[in-house]
This record gives sequence, C-alpha cells and structure tokens, in this order.
Amino acid sequence: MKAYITESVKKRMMELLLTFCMVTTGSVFVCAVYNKVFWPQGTFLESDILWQLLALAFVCSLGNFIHSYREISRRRAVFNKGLHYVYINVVVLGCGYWFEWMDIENISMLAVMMLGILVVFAVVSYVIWKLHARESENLNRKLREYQQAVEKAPQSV
Amino acid sequence: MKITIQDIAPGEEEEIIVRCRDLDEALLRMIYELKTRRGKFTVTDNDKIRQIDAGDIYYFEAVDNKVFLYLEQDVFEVRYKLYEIEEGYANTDFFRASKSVIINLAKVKQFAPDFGGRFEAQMRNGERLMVSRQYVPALKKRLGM
Repeated sequence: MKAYITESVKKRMMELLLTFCMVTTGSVFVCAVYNKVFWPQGTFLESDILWQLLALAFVCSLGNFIHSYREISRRRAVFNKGLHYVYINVVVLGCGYWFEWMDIENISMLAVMMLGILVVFAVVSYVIWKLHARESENLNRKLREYQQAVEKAPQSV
Repeated sequence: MKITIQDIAPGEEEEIIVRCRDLDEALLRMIYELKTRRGKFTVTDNDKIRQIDAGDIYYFEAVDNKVFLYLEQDVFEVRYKLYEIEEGYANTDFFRASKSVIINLAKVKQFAPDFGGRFEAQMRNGERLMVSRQYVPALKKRLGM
C-alpha cells in the first residue's frame, strides 16, 4: 500500500511538472501575442513579468488536483474538466487584474486574454490526451504479448 | 514423475514446487490449473446447477452487494465477494479494474483512452468496461510495463 501511495504521489508530481512546463510555454506565447496586438510599436517589459508568469503557471498547475484519483463517473469527469477550465480563467484573469497586465474595462483586451486562455487550455488538454492515447497503444502492445504468452498455456481442462 | 507430499506446520503457507528440466505443455497446463485453483464456478441456471469454466468468464461485476459473472452472452450470480475472487485468482488472467469490476485480460480486445486518466477495456464480445485511474499502475505492472 505504501509503495502504491509513493508511486501515486510520484505520478502526481510528474503530472504537475508537465502541466507547469506546458502552461509556462503557453503563457509566454500568449504574452508575446498579447503585446504584439496591443502594443505593436513595441513596449518595455519589466523583469517582474517573468516571475509573474512562473507564478501563474504554478497556480494553474494546482488545478490538476481538481481531477481526483478516486473513481468517478464519466459525467463527473467531464464536469471536473469544465470546472478546471473555469479555475484557469479565474486564475489568469485574476492575475491579469492583480499584476495590471490589462485594463479590465477594455473589452478587446479581455477578449484576447480569454481567447488566449482557451487556446492554451485546448493545446495542453490535447497534448495530455495524445500522451494518454500513446499510453493505451503501449498497453495494447503489451496486452497482445501477454495474450500470446497465455495462449501457450491452455486455459481449460 | 515422482510426487512427494510433505506435512507442514500449522500457519505455514501451502506451497507447490515444480522441479523440471524443461517446461513442456503438459506441465504448463498443470501449473495454470493449479494457479486458477478450482478453475470452475458453480452457478444456478433455471434451477439447474451449472459449472462455468474460469476461462470462459469475461468479467465479474459487483452490483447491490451481489456479484455476477459475465460470459460472452450470459450472466449468472455467484456466491463470492469480489475480494474473494480477486484473492483466489491473483496472478491469473483476472485483474481488478475498478472497485466493482474484475476483468479477464484474455478476453480484452484492446484498451482505449478515456476521460480523467482512465482507460476503457473493450471486450471481445463488444462490451466496454472502465479501468479506473487508481488501478492503471497495477494494470501496467501486470502487463510487464
């Protein structure tokens, strides 16, 4: 049981790290696009923005804890995904307001920010899904090997 | 072939040791039968007693404190708890996929990705069962990953 818990904690940490890296990359990309759109003539960015993006990525990664390891229905899993998306929006828009990345009364800034969130969320979700699909391919390959080995040991009297 | 039976002390685990030069088909069959213990489940089919071979079972499912075994087409209730089946058939083709289901890996056609880190086991008879996220590491270990 202890070994399982350690394995499960390890897996959680790896997932958090992967999410952190992907969100950091996505945030930098959105930041670049955002600045190009609203300040096409160029702008000066303070170094604080880098720490803010890292902090944002970290807090966004904590959203992984919405997805429990407990058994839940597919409906609940879909609901959790939606909840995760809302969480990300709250975190990013909250950071946008707190760190003064945007004027919250400027509808176009808000729209671009929300579009950026949607794109990054979709890309991260897609990457995770592809990794999961690759995992299932590996499982199927191992399943075939297992079944071939079992066929050599007849199963009934 | 020589067969030796030894008495053991109370509390000591029963053990079978097979000493051989090569593992031929007959020995493999014997080992497999030993591993699946009885190898058969007794069920009631229209007031008739029927013996179900473990190899024909697709999966077990616990519903409302009852356990059912599923064949390709038929379903029968069995008088075992899921944990008893899990323990009795440990290290065989039967694998605990979730809190309420034990699947026969030999009857799985393929695994498909599902929401929330789970996998869907698509059985050879067309049925689809869920492998819960918490049981995925055990599945990987069973398949040698």
